[in-house]
Amino acid sequence: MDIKELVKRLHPLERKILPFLKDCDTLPELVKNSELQEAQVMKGLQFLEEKEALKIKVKESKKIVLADKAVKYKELPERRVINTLSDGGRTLREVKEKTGLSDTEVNACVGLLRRKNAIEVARDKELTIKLTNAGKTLVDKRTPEEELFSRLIKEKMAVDALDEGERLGFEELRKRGLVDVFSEKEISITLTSLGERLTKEKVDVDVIEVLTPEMMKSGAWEKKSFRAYEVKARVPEIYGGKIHPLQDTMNQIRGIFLEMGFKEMEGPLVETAFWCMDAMWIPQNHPARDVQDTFYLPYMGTIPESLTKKVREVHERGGDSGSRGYGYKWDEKIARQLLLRTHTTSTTFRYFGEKKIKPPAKYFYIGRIFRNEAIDATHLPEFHQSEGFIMDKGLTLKDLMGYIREFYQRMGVDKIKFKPTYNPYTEPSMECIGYNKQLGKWVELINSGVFRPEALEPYGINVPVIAWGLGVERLAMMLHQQKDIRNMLGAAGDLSWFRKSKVIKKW
Amino acid sequence: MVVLETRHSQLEKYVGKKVSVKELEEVLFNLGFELERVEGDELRIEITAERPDLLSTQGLARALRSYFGLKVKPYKIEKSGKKVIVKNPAKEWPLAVAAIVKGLKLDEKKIKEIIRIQEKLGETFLRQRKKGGLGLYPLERITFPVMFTAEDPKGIVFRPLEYGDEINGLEVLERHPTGKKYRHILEAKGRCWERFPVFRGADNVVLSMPPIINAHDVGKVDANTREVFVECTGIDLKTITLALEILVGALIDMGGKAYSIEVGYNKKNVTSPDFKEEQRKIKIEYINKILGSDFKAKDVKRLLQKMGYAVKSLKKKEIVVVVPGTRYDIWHDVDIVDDVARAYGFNNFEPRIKPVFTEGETTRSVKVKEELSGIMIGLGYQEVFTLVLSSRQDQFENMNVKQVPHLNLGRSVEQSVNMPRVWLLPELMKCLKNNRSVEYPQKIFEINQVIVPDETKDVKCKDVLKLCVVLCHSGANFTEMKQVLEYVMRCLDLKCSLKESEHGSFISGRVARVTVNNKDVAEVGEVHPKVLSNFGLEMPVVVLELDLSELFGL
Repeated sequence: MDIKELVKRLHPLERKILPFLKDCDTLPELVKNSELQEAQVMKGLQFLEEKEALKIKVKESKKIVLADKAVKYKELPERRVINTLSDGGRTLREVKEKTGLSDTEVNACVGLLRRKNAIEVARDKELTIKLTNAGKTLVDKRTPEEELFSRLIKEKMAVDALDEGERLGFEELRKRGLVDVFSEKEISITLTSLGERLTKEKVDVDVIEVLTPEMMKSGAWEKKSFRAYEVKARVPEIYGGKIHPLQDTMNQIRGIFLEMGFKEMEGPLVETAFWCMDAMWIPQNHPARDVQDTFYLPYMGTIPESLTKKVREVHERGGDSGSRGYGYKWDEKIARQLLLRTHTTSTTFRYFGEKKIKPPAKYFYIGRIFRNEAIDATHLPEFHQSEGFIMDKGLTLKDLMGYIREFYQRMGVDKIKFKPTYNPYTEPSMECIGYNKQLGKWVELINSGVFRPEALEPYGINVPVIAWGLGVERLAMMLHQQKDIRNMLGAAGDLSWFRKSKVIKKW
Repeated sequence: MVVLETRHSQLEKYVGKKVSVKELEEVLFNLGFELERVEGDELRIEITAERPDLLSTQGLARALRSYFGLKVKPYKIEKSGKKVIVKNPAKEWPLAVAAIVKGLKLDEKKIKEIIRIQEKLGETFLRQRKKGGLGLYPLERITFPVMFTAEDPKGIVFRPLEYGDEINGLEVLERHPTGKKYRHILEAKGRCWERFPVFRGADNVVLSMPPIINAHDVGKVDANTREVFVECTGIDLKTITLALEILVGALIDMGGKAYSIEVGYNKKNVTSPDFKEEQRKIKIEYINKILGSDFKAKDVKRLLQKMGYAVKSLKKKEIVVVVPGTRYDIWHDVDIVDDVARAYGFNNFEPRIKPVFTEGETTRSVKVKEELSGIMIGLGYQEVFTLVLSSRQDQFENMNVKQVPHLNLGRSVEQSVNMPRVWLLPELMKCLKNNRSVEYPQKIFEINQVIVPDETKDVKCKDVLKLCVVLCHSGANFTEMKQVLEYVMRCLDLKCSLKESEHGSFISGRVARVTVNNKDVAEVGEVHPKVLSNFGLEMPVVVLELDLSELFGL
């Protein structure tokens, strides 16, 4: 970057310390000269280091200071004892009086001086102390610890800087608890070539950092320029509230159905086996009615009397539908069993049987359904299904294909294939597979069919009804690139994934 | 979906021509099945549930032969003159059909295939043997007339297949692996049936105890066996006859000659199997009306022959076809129309759209949810979507409240759920629990249904739409949520009033009931620390739960 551009972007703290970097290369110097606080100087130095204008070197060294209890001494207490003894031996009592030291202090000094062989202690009528020959030499000469002590009174010293003699003194003072050692960081700065050039630049300290209402009132902004920002610098991410990805996919599906002129249905989550199975000609011994797959509730509901007879007949002998029927005995009690609906088709049949809709009609539903399964990465005991049906005279299998192709196209899939399949209540039935460009593979999303005459018979519907449905979670997981269904539905959903999730572009 | 395991080489042998994997994949797709996996010579093919006749290599090969335009020999069966007498059978297992097949040249492959067909039919079409069981025996050890009856299990003593000793019926259920696996079929309300089904030869020797297991000495087929006795017993005549026919059909295709057996019941005799074929007359116009096609009679003839139908007569406007006896799924003319479409190839139809002029419309509930979601998102709240299924533990105990009227589930595979929720908050507390490592504040909401008992409905309950708003951060307090409540109310142009209340989930003195137009519609409060603990939370939480169904009369 051009150096003039760099200068424009300098932070006020950088601007304040820059002039002093030519001559100062340690932190204390910079603090003193810039009249800023240490934290501010550090911040400015870090900004400059990020710009590669300088390098901050941190050296840790161990420093010695006087311990709290030593601070009151002007000299080490044993000096006073030595002075007192310089002109001859004295009793302990006299030493105490003359030195003015406490009992503890005197005893400590006596013990200390004895260790150094500087004194002799004699037991006459009283304890008497006198200097030895070695002790006498100490009268005019300071001990290493005294030397060190006198220096420490004035300033702290680095452990590394001690010479041998000072080291001995240091050990002594440390043993006596008269000194503390602490780690000190020494900060030094070396300018890079960029930094050298920067220091030579004319840097305006009086730039606007923040535009304030006061500046606006006073017009003070007119004469100054704004400090430029480093627009490439990273800023913390923010997030807002969002629609849930599953809801987003449901809204997308709803939009397509509404565009195609479908009316939305609604129906109960808890159903009778009647509406969920019997009403659409699923026989009472069908595997899908097994306890394994269905959530049965330990209660009985009520079923419409007006339809019961017709449904029984069409199950047992085909009614008037032209079918041979299943040939078993239909049990009303089984039909009254309550369960959590296993598909949204139960609602479709309520619309046939209760709302008695007449052709032409196009209806859809997006609702929750339940399967008695354990939770894992691809299974939940509940999920959502979306289905739509069209009831009108003259509808054929080709129309079913055509409407599904239209539906897929509005979802952005234009390559589709149809595969025959089997459903107990539609014939013909089809699986509709679309090519997902993103995943680069064919995905089965839609199941469809023409309702069987036996399924429509009880409701007096004598025009074709074509229908299709899809699993919403499957589609949502594909669109939102989520592999684990537990993140798509349920309390285990990862809140940080929701915050980061991307909008599906529907344009 | 049922899986047929077969061998490519075997399939080609019975089809009578080479079929490449690619060709096989395409044909199966067009027929509505799937080549799931190819591992060397082994194939896994998914067959849909309404075609049990394709659960043998031989059965599938027949279908493929028809599809390729090769001649298929119809199943032929003669009377054997032998009898099975059904005497006083168990009321729970009263029916039997049987056949004899001679002239078999069995080898290990064929025996494996026979066992595979038996097991596959037993597991799928016969619903884990609950509807019926198939048995196969070398004919030479059987003395006629065979008796099918039911006896006190203690009196049924025999050496079961692949077992060391002679044991009685009860012991079979306790000790033999097959007995243990299927014992529940012979049980009702936790106790065994009084009498178990049993096949005995005229010499009184136990042949088998259906549907559990054959006797070892008379019931084991090997490479030397030339003639077999096959039976199927169970609860529905059509079902067991079809199962028998499928197995016998495969044996016929293996080179055997089949003979039917007269089964004598108390009041009548049934000679089976008979591979009875049904004739059906269908109008060409009917086919075209459903498919939207334009087939002529001769097109329909060609297409149905491809699907294994024989054509009895052909007129310009109608066709009489013969439905193979082993087709289980032809209940109505539409089932034949479906076969015409499959033979033609679904992807060969040109999709079209007959315009149906109707207007789109959504429901009140959807509009309410959309509007309220918008308001909450505008406040920076993240929408969550939780399960309706919850547990009494989470709904009541962990929330520190007494149980209120609710529905319970029957048996649930997923152990962590046992009731549909009556309120939203517990699931949202679980959201917070599962996201403790995510940055705070956490602001979440949900608008979805709960289920409450209602005796006036046909399903004894009703779905209620609720909004739950949860705010979790280190300074969360009542004021913040009251602000949310009042903001929402102002947006909706509604006036609400608050009244102190007591609620176990909330801190006493920091919870209120909310009323709008004299209707109790919501609760707002600071969550009690005991409840926070139950969900492993250390961050305070403040909550609003609003009944939208009550508020808007949904």
